[in-house]
Amino acid sequence: MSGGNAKDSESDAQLVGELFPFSISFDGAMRVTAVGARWATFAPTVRVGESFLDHFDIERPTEVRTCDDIRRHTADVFVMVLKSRPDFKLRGQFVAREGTLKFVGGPWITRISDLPRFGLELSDFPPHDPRGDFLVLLQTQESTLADLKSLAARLRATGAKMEAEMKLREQFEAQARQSQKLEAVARLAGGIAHDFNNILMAVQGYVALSLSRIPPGDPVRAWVEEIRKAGDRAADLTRQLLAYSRQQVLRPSALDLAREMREFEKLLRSLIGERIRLTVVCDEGLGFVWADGTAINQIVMNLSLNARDAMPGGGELEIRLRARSDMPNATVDADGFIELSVRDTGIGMDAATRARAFEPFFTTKEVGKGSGLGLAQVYGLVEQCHGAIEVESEPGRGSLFRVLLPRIKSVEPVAPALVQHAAGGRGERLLLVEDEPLVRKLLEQLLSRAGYQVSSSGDPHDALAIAEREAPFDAVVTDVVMAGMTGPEFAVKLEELRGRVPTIFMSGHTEDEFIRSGSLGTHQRYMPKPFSPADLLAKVRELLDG
Amino acid sequence: MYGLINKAVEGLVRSKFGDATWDKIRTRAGLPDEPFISMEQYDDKTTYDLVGAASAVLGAPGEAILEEFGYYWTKYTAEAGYGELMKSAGKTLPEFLRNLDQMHTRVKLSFPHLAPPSFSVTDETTSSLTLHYYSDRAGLAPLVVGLLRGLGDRFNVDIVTRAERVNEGPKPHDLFRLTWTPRAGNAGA
Repeated sequence: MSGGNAKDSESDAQLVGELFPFSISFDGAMRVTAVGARWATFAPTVRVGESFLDHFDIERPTEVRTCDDIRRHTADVFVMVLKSRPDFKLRGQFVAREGTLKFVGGPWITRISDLPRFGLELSDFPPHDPRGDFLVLLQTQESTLADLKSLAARLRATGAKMEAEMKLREQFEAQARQSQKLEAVARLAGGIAHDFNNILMAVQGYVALSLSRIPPGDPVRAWVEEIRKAGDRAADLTRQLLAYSRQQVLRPSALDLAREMREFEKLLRSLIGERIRLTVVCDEGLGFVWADGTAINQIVMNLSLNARDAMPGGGELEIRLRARSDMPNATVDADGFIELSVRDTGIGMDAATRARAFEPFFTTKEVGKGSGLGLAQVYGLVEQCHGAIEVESEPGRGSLFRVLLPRIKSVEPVAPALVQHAAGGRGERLLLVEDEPLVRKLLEQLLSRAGYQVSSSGDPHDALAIAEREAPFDAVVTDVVMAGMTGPEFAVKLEELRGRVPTIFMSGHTEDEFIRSGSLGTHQRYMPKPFSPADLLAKVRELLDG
Repeated sequence: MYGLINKAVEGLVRSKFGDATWDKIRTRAGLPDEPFISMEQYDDKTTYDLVGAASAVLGAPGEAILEEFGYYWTKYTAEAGYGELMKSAGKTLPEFLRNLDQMHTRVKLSFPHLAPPSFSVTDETTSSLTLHYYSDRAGLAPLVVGLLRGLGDRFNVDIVTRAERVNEGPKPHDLFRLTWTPRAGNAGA
């Protein structure tokens, strides 16, 4: 070998060492003859003269140990482990040349973020080495994967949110459908109750007149008494129907619910019996609601009786009053809300029963044990009080009804107590306006027999003509719902004509807001149909006596 | 431009001005409320619209927004997984600037549709050089000013930059005359 050739060879080795900074050459005895430029700083013990096998294990191909083995695999990819640092591997190939074997390759790293761990940098991969680019490419792929993961997480969150919104929407829709259904049934029930009340009015009126003529001891009297009782029961049913259809006339006032509950508790205890343990808990300083006390008592009674029937073997009934800051779908401007809850430990309701619980005539009780109007009445009354009702129940886990009522901001003065008056007329002149002939005829007879002079008409326009034509009347008794003109409209026109006239409004179907809201004048009274003759006579007398 | 750029704009706004401001800017730019994908190509208009909207919402000139973005970009890319790539570009400011094109060539392998700007260095001394910036996109020179500020932080030097527009010659471009001094605790740039 000439000096020039030796110089070239040395120069070539240097060039290879720079182009492949992790290259290693060794001779037939596997003694290292040359190393790449990076070994000096990366692992200085890997140097010329060292035994290759002292520093490296060949992991792939397997079972390769000698120079001959390596020569047979020069077309294969080699993976070698640096013994002094087993987590560091080299990947490359061997080139056989003039009695030497040269490893040409570099660190086997697949994540750019692993570089610092090995004390390496991207610049340790020369520009011609695609592994540097490969690491950048993999990093980009990793970033893209992270982007996609974040996108997937966001999609999942959006999906969950949408699912929750759809569920909520379904709930609202179901609630709306239920409200519409109950509203339709309520209108129907109200209409039936109105017509039915007129008929009942006549039945009860003529029964009363008949009883006044039948002497005690007459066997017919007992039969007529039975008719009266049946009529009373029918009247009770129509009252419940009217309550459900939110047409029961309420007399709202500022009501201290806690006080109302404490007064009602005693009656409630006697109603539910001794096998049920009743607890009434009222939080302090709850304030007032604007409601009708009788309606509240009806609500509590109906819920309690339902609870009692759900606990035939006894159990616990808890009535609780507490403040609440919110109410679903609240439509009134309220100073918070008061929650009246009734909880029992009874048999509970399944979802299907819960969904229909407030429907009129829906009952799970045996035939003849329940009218199916109790909860319907509660529903109607709560709505009429601008409140809301919620129910929670599971079979075998009891039921919890929550009635929410708006709390009022200030307390109105309490209406004065009614004074009882002796019934009967003293020849006073009454104008009777009633478009139902059956009722008109009955009332005419009733009032005339009681000592009043009665002029009557089935048409409000005609009644106005009578009022204009004749001398002033002492009082007016008028139906509310009439074709062409309502009772209140008639009263206004009459007062324009004749000044203030004491007036009684009768109705089985109170559609007029001024009556339902309880805003009658002091010279006006309201009588829900059906009423007894005695009630009417007492009311007329009371009005005339002022 | 690739989504990585728009993501960086979003990152800048969110980190400095909050999520609500980002929503305002995104809405004003007419973009949907969905994340950018780094590897996806977006119309350049998206980025320009974002800068325009940021300028309107933040009440700052577009140039100031671009400069701030350039400053943020040097940190963002390092945190977004390209720190090693940046490290490979150089250990000193002049070395880094000389290797910018080299770095972009490597990046182009991952972002094949990348249309990066080109940089060259002249008049280099131990504390100054002239950086020539060539770009097909107009009006982005302020971004380079921000980038240089960011690199000043990276290499712990204070840089004074003087920008000029060169309209003569075969290829009009922007040039930046830089002088730098090591910050306290920095042995040398």
